[in-house]
Formats: sequence, structure tokens, C-alpha cells
Amino acid sequence: MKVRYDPKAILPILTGPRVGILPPEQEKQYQVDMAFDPGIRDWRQNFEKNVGGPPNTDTDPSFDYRKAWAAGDTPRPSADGSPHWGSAGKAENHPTRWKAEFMDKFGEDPDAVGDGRYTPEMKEFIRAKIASEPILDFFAAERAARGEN
Amino acid sequence: MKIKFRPLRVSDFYNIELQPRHAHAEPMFHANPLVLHALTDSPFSFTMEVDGKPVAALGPTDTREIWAYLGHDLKRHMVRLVRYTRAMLEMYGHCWARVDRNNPDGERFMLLLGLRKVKVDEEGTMDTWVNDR
Repeated sequence: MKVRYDPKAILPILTGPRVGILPPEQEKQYQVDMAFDPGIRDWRQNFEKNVGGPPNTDTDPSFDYRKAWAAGDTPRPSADGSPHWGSAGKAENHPTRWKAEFMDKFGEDPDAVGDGRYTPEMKEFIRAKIASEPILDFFAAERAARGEN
Repeated sequence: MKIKFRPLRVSDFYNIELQPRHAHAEPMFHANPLVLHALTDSPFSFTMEVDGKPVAALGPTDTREIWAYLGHDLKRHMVRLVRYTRAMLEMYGHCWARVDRNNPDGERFMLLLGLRKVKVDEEGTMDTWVNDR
């Protein structure tokens, strides 16, 4: 299926402030990997299929792809089989950054902890993170970027 | 008017004045307190309070299914509820929900939460919705 891009959606990607800087020789390799690495191409195709547009790999304020790439991160299959980047490039206000912090603290994948297995400490940790002020600010900024109230 | 989001409590299921479309579910919920306790166990479940009165409760189950227990006359508070829930779902990750096929309000709520319709259940009475996380 051919994906049709909305020019209005692409404009901020092309004109927004660029996130992440690499030395020129690494930047060259980064561009090659982003274009031709099979895992990254699978991820890009999956992203376009689900979202209906290209991923913002240059100016996304919540995820630094260059930082992730430089840390050796690459898309890996998630629980549902779709390719997914790790946490290395996530900014402080990324919505799922708390999952990596949860794993570091409790040694368990929060997506695999079922009801009845949450300890009081886990519950407290999650409740402090869920819909907290930085995250609500993040969504407020997104809405403002879209011109919504 | 003060709006507050807090962790879900079992008593909220008895204090929320349900909207008429959900009224058929009330006896089933009230007759199964163990189910209510299980729903409150998820740290992602929350209650929305307006001036100290619970008006809506929402959360995921163990199977990542999203449920909602919504009071009547939520119109004025829907924007806050949707924004908070969207933020919660972004952080929660993959989830799904089922909505009656004859419930246009429920379908609109799903669209507002960023879910998309994927299939009809075996009985042909409910649609399944998912987010793409």
C-alpha cells in the first residue's frame, strides 16, 4: 500500500530544531544505517503502516535516534513482534522512559508484571510516574504544536 | 470546581452515578466485589473526582483490556478526562478495549483515546479496539 504523506505533518519534521549531533564520520555511518540496515527498515515500514507517516528521526524532542544509534541500540522485536527501539535515546519526558527505570529498580519488565504481583513499592513508583506533570506538559506542548487548545 | 485524579478505590464503584448507557452493568459489578478488588489492584487504574465526588473510573485489566466506569453528565469534564487518559495510555503501552456495536458514544470515546477499531467479536455484538503501541 502506498503511504500518502500529509505535507503539514512533515513540515515541522523538516524545519524543527535538530536533536542530537554526531561527528561527521559517525553521521555518515548513521545515515547509511538508517537508510539500509534491515532492522531499521523493518521498523520504519512498520511505523509508517501504523502511523501513516514517516518517523521523525531528526527533530523528535522525546527521542534522540543518534544517541540511541551511538549507544549500539537498534530496533528489536517487542512482545507483540513489532520492532521497537530500546530506551537509550529516550528523553526525560518520553512517555515510556519510566519502564526502563522500573526495570533498573525492580529487575522486572513492567509489562510482564500482572495484577496481584505488584508490590506496594511498585505501585507507588508507577503512580508517581503515571500522568505526572512532566508528561502532561509534554502532551500540552504536542497539542500546542498542532494548534489545539 | 476542583478536578483531581487519584488511585481507584472499590468504594468508587458504589459512589459513581453511572450514565444510563452503563446502567445495565451496575448490578453485575456490585455483585462481584472480588472483581472490583482485582480492578483496583492495577496501579494504572484511576478515579476522576470533581469537587470531591467521584465521577469516572478507568483502568486496564490483567490482560491489558481497558475498562471505563463513567458517570452521567460528564460532558463538561470529558476534555480533562480524555487528556489524562491519553497520557496514561501513552505511558502504559499496548492496550485494547471492547465496545458495544450500538454505542456511538463509546466509539467516539475510543477515537478520542486514540484507539482504532480492528474486528467484531464472535457474537457480532461488540467491536474490538486497539492502540498501536
